Amino acid sequence: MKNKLILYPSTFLWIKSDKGLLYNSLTYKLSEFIVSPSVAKLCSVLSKPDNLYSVVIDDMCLDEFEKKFICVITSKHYGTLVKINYNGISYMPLLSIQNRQSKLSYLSSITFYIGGTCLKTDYYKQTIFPVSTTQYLNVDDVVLFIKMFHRSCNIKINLVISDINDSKCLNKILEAFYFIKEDVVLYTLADDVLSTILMKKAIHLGYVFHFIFLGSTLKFDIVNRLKNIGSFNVLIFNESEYSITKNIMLSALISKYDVIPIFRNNVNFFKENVYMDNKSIRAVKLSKREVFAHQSINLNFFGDMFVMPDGRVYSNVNMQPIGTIKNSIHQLITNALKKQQAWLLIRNKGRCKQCVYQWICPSPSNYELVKHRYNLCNIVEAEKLK
Amino acid sequence: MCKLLAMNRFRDIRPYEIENNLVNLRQLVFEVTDACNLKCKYCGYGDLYYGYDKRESKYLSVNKAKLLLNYLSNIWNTSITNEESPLTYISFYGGEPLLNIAFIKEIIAYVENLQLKRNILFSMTTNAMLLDKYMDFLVEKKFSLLISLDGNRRAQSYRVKKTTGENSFDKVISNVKALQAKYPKYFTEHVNFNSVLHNRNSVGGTYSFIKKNFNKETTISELNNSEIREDKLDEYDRTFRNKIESIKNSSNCEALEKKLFLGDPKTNDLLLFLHQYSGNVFKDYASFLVNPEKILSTNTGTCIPFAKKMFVTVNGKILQCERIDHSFSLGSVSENEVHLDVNKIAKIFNKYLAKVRGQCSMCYRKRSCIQCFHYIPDIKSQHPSCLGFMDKKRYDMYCSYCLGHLAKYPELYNKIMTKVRVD
Repeated sequence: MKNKLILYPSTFLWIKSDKGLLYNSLTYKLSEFIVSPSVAKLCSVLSKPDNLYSVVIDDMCLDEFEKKFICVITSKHYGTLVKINYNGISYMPLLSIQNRQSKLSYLSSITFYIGGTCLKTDYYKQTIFPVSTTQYLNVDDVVLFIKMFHRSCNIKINLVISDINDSKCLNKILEAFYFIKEDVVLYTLADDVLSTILMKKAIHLGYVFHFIFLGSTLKFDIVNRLKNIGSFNVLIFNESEYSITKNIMLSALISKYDVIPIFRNNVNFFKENVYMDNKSIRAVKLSKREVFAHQSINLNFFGDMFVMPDGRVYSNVNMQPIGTIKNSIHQLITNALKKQQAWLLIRNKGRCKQCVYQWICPSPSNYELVKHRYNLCNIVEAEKLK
Repeated sequence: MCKLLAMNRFRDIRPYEIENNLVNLRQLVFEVTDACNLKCKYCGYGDLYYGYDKRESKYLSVNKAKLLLNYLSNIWNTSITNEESPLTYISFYGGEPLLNIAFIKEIIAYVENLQLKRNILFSMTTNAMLLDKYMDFLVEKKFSLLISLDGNRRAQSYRVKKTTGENSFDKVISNVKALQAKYPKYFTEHVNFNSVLHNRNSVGGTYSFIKKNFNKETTISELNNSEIREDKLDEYDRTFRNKIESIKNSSNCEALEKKLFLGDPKTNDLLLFLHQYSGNVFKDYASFLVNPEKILSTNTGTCIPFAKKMFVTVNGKILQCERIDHSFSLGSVSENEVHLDVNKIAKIFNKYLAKVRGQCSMCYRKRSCIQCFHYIPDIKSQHPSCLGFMDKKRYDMYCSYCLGHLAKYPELYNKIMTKVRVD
């Protein structure tokens, strides 16, 4: 008997050589299947938009692979099997972006690295962290730059201060950015804080502080001293630092803080705690919109810009600059949208391109850019061992 | 439950959105004159309708237009736009705009001297009766020209000369042919047609006539169905022809539907349906970052003032569109100043939104509403009744209608998703 197999509009169907994946963006269920030549033929018909996500099948002529494939679809609600004259129709997820032009509204945050000396690391390539340099960003230039557009868009402004004890510098910042103080967050290294007087003044003026701790030097008394004047990021390198951080924060009665793993020759820690594995893939709960987002933009980087103390502007500090603070904001956004830049960096290269989980995996991260390795993933390795 | 609650709640428009629309204004339309050299039976400013200022053969004052341009250029040159190189059309509308060519020439010269920080293009809707006199100027300024032509001689027979009552067909065809012959490249790139469907033409006939004679695909519209005078309803009904029916009655309906593509109302409805409900269409990159189910939107399908255009009547009234009742003016321009108060506009606009909000929250089509509140006949009453309201039954019928059309023409899915851009 002939029937019609219809996939639901919420179901994504991906095939990479002999492996296929069905993912329902409403139920968040996913199922892998083997792509035999007969199943490949069915999928090929289903994947033609004109077929409206349906294929006619003949019960009498199905092989075991096809039967299994159809069984997965119907039993796990990726689609349905209906009579051939059934009128209901479906359509495959086919992305359409109406306007790809550069827009000011894309900008969501700018992080300014003010400059000055501090602990010398390159952690700023992985997360917001002060840079150590003798250069200083010209605060007047920054203010002029921000004034060009801040009234027309809703953006967050991060100011990363390398030397928090430079009271002259901090006072100048507090004065210069007062006109947009509601949108500003001041980042500094917590360990460097000698006095909180100036910070209390800043908070009184309406500024917000974000303190960065290194897990290796995290101490209860510093946490306790700063807990009422800002929020916290703790950078960790191993599991022991994570446990210590948890305990100290618990003792200080702090429930809201961010723990950020930092890569530094600690591959095993990353493999165990950061890399994607089968369990994390199965925990994915992405809507159709979010899957399409993964296919189009980098959700980690899109909308962010970084200005270094030399005035160069980046869409990601691990990549080439997109201009300088002297360029127009429109020009910078246009450059940020160029294919080789971070905002549109998606999993369309290397091993990811061959992977059936390509579009449900998170967008490429800074860790990958720092490691020069285009995926953080245990799945491929695990498959090799099978 | 939370999702449902969010979808049943709506927000007001905010004054800054109107300011933002002024900064990013896409089209400024001047009603150059309310005079016309034709007297078309079904004209929106004619005998069949009410809801417009009395036609007194006036010309829009150049001074008023310049004041408004100064007002906008001040906004445009001091604010940053959303797009790097925004484009604004300055359009001339009537009556028949070419009757006031002096205004058009002076305003264009003025705009060219303003050094506006944006790309400016000029456009015009014309009945083509004076095209022979002014085509050189229109071509020189690269006008986007929209010519009103209903088809062959009989089809054009409602567009009669005001002075003699004679059919305008011969003059219009001769002028358009002359333009095509003298400036073939311009004609290909900048000239389009629009046609009105009525009881003396048909979709198929009009489409074929213009395709055959000018190799262009005309946009065919039904007679305006709002603000019809009570005493003219019979006449309106006699003149009116339904577009879907006209296509259905054509000798080769399926071929015509395919040729018309989005000109077919059913395909156009399908486009809207897929854009709103497929979950596959995104306005821009920023749309990926927003969950539409969690954000509050405004109710009805009414454009936020100046989101698409600004229309200035011959009397200096400022409206958000040329197709709405002049009593909905949002401001005005006098000989001395421009009166536009965004707070006041938002307040009045929100008052209308509030009137139908209850119905909107119950409506099954609220996510893809196309009902402009200006077209709700009793919108000025205490409890207006929305014509576009859909209960579940009506909404299910609407979905079946759209999807039924897709089932008939499955190839439309790929074409709509990959070839159509609506901005």
